[in-house]
Amino acid sequence: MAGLSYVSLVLLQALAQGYRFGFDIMDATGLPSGTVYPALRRFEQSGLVASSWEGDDQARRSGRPRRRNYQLTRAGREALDETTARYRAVSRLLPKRSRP
Amino acid sequence: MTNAPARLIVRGSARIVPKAHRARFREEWLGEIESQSDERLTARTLRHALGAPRDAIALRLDATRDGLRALAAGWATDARQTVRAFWRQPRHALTIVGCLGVGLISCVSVFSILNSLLYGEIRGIADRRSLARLSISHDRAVSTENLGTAGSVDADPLSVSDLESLERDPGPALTSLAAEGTLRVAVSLGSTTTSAIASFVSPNYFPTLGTSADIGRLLAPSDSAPDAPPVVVVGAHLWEDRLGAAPDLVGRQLFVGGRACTVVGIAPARFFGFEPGEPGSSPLDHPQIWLPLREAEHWPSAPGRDEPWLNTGGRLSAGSTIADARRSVGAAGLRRGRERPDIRANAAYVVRPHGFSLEDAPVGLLIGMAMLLLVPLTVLAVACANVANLQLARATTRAREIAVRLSIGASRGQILRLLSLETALLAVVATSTGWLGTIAVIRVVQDDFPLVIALDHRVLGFAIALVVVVTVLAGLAPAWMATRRSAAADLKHTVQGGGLPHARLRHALVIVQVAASVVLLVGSGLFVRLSHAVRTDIPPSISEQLTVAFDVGLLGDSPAETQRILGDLQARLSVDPRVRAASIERNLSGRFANPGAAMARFARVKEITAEWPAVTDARLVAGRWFDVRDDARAVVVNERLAAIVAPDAVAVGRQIVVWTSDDAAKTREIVGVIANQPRHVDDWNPSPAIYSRLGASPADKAPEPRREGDAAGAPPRLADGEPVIQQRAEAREFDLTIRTREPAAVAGDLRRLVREIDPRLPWTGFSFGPDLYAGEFDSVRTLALAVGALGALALLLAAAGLYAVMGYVVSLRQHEFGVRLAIGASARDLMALVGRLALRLSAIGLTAGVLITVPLALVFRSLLVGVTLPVFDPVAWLPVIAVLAGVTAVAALGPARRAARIDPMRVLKVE
Repeated sequence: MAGLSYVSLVLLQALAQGYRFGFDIMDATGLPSGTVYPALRRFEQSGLVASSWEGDDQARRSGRPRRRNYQLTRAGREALDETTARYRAVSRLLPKRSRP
Repeated sequence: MTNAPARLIVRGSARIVPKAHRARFREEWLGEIESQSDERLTARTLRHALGAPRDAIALRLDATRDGLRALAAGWATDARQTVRAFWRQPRHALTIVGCLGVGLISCVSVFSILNSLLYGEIRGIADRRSLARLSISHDRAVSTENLGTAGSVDADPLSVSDLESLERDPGPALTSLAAEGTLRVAVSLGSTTTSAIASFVSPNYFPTLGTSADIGRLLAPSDSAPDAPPVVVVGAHLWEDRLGAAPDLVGRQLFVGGRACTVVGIAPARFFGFEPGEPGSSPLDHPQIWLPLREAEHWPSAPGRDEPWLNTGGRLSAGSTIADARRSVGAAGLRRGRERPDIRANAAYVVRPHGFSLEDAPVGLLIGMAMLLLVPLTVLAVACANVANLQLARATTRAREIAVRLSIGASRGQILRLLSLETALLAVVATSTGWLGTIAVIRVVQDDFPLVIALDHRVLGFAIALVVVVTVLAGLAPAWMATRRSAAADLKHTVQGGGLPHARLRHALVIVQVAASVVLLVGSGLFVRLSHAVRTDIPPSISEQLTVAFDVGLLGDSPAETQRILGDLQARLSVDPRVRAASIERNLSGRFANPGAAMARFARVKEITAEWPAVTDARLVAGRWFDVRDDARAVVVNERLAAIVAPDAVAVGRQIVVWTSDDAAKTREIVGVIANQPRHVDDWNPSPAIYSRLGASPADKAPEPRREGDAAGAPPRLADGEPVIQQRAEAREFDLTIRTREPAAVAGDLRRLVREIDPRLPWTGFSFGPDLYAGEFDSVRTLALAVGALGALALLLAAAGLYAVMGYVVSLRQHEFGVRLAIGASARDLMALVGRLALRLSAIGLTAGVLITVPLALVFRSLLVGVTLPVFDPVAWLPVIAVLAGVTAVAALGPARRAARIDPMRVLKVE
C-alpha cells in the first residue's frame, strides 16, 4: 500500500513495536486520540491491521468494558517496510537543519 | 472528580456513529478510558475522550461514503431491470411517452409557429426588429407624441410625394427608407407571356431591407437615376415557374407591361418584399417583379403622386427604438403639413414596429390570441393529467411489488433509486420524442410558411420542465408514500382490496381531462358553425356573383379597341340563358370633398355599366340611378359618403369635387344614394364610395377649366401632379361581374368565350362572390379544424385516462366484486356499476366543460364584428356530447367486462 502519510508510518511503527491498545499508541506516539482511532479503523478496513477484543474475563476482572486489541497483518508489515524506506530516502534528500 | 465527563463525551459521540458500529464504538472507547484511570478524571483521560467525536464523525462519513458507493453500484442493475420491465410491458411506457410526446409537440409547435408569425424573421429581410412601418395619418387628434396606442390610429399608406418629403429628412432615428407599391403587370420573355405582381420600389429599398440577390444583383439607388436604363429584378418563383428557369435570364430583355427592361438579378425564393406572404398561398400571388419606383410615373393604372399606395418602412439607426423614431418623424410630419396644407394639413407620420407589438395590438386581438394559445396548453395539461393518472394507478398496483422488495431487504433509498430511474427514463424518452416530433412538424410546415419558423426554446424549456415535474411527481410521490407505508399492510392489501389509494385525485384528473376536451371540441364546433353561418348568410347577389379581372391596358390597345372587346364580351354573355346580368366595372381610388372644403377624403370610385344594380342588388335609398341621358357629371354615392358630405341634409342634388387616379379634379352632382355595400362579411363600416357611368364619352371626361373660386376655397387640384396625369394612359383594368345561378359552369365557358373574342386578353383569374365576401372567415374554418384536431387528441388522451382509471378500479375492487357475485349480484349488475362510475366522471367533466366553454364563447362573441357566434347552437354541442358518451362507453366497456368475468370462488379463496 503506497502513499501512507508520515502519521500512518508512526502508527504502524508503534504497532510493530508491540503497542496494542489506543491509549498505549497515543502514549507512544504522542498523537491525539482523534487521529489515532480513525487511522486504526482505516488501516483495518484496508487490511493493514487486524483487531481482536480482549476476553470478557479480563475486562470483568479490571471492572471496565472490553478493550480492542490491534496488531499488524502481513500486508501491514510490508506497507511499513515500504513506507519506512521511502521516508528514509526523503529524509536524506532534506538538508540537515543546523540548530541556531 | 470522576470520569463521568469523559464517559459523557464518548456516549454523546456514539450517537453520531452509524447504528451498526455504535455499540462497539462505545465499548472500545469506554474500555480504553476506564483502563487508564481509577475513576479520577485526569487531563490525559479528558484529552483522550475528546478524540471520540472526531472518530465518530470519521465513522459516519465512511458509512455514508460506502452507502453512496453501494447505491451507485446498483444503478446499472436497476437500469437493466427498468429497461427489461418496459420491454416486457411496453403498453404503459408507450402510453406515457405517447401522451407527453403529443402534448409537447402540439404545444411547442403552435407556440413556435405563432411566435414566428408575430416576431419571426422574414425571408430576405435582415433583422426585422430594427425595421419600422411608416404610414401617414390625417387625423387632427393624432400627434406624434401620443402614438403609444397607434393600433387605434386610422392611417394611410404614404404617397410618392409623402415619401419624397420624408426622405429629405426622416430624423436621426431612421437611417434609410424603403417603400413599395404593387400593380399587376404582363410579363413577356421571348414568346412566353404571363402576368405577375410587380413591386415599384424606392431607391434605397433593397439596401434598407438588407436583401441579397440569388443570382446577379438587386436594384441599387443608381437604377433610380433619371437617365438610368430600365432594369428589373425577377423573383425566383416567377423565374422558375413561369419563365422556364432560363439560365441566361440575367442580362436579357424582359418586357414588363410592354416596356423593355434588362434583368439584373433574381431575388431569393420566398422573398415577397416588405410583407411576408400568406401562409399556404402561392408565391405567384405575391410580388415577383421589382422595378424602380420612378417607372411607376409612366405606368398605366399606377396611382397618382398624392395617392396613398406605398407600403413604407424605415431602418432604425443603431440604438434607436420605435419611440425614438416616433419623436424623430414628428418634425417631418409638421413639415409635410406646411408643404401641402391642401391635402396634408394635419398630417402626422405614424411609426409602428414591423413585427408584432403588444402596445399597438388591439385588446380584442390579444384576447383572441390568448384564447388560441390556451388550446395547445390545454392539450399539454390533459396529457400531463393523463400521465399523472396512469402513474398514480401504476403506483397503486406496484405497492405489493415494492412491499416485497422492502421485505427482502431493499432499503428505501434503493426503492427510490429504482423508481426515479424509471421516471427519469420515461421523462427523457418522452421529452426527446416531443422535441424530435416538434422539429419534424416545423420542417413540414416551414415549406409553405412565409416566415422563418424557429423552435421556440423558451416554450420548449417550459414544456419540458412541466413534463419532467409532472412525470417525477407522479412517478415518485406515490412511491415515496408506498415506501413509508407498512410493507406487511401492502402485502395483504392488494390481494384483498379495500380502499382505493389516491382515488379522489385520479377521478379529479379524469374530470379535468374530459372538461378540457369538451372545451376544445365545442370551441371547434362553434367555429365551424360560425364559418358555416357566414357562408349561408351570404346574400344571393353575392353568392351568385362571378368576377373576372381583365387588364386590357396591358395589350397596349387603343381605348376604342378596349371598348370593342368589352362590348363584345358583354353582348355574348347577355345571350347566355344562365346569366341573369353581367356588368363591367372599373375600380379606382380617389378623393372627394364638398366644394370649398379645406380637406379632401379618400373614397373608392367605381365606374359601372347600367347592369351593375341588377348584378349587385344595390338598393337605392334616395334619388335615382343615372341613365343614358346623364353625362359623366352624374354620380351615385353610398350612404357613408352621403353622410359625410351632407350630415344633416339631403345629399341628392349636391355637388362634390372628385379626384381619381387617372383624372383631374371634377365637379360632380349626386343624383342618387345607395345603401352601403359591405365588401366582406365583417365590413361593418364600408368606406365612402362614388359610382359613375362607365363608357362616358371622352369629351365628358376632359378636365374642367380652372375657375377663380377654386384657388381660394375649393379643395385643390393636383397642382404638381397634373403634367404626370396628362402623360399617363387611361388605366384599363376592368372587372367583369356576372350574376348567375351556375357560377362554376359559366366560369368554365368564359375561358372559351374570351379566347374567341381576343386570345391575347390577359385575365387575372376568377373570383367567386362567396370567396371574396367570406374571405377571412375561411381561415376561421381552418382554425376551427386545427382546434378540433387538438380537441380530438385531448379527448383521445382523456379516453385513455378514463380507461386506465376504470381498469385499476376493477383490479383493486376484485375482492369486493367477488363478494358481490357470491351474494347474488349478476355480471350485468357489475358491468352497470363500472359503467355508472365512468359515466359519472364523464358527466361531471362535461358539466365543468360547459361551465368553462359558455363564458369563453360569450367573451369571444363580443369580440366579433358583423357576425354572431352561435354560442348555444345544438349542432356544435350535440355531436360532442354524443362522442363523449361513446368514448366513455368504449373506455368503460373493457374494464366492465373484466369485472363481470371475475370468478368469485378464486377471489374468495385468496382470503
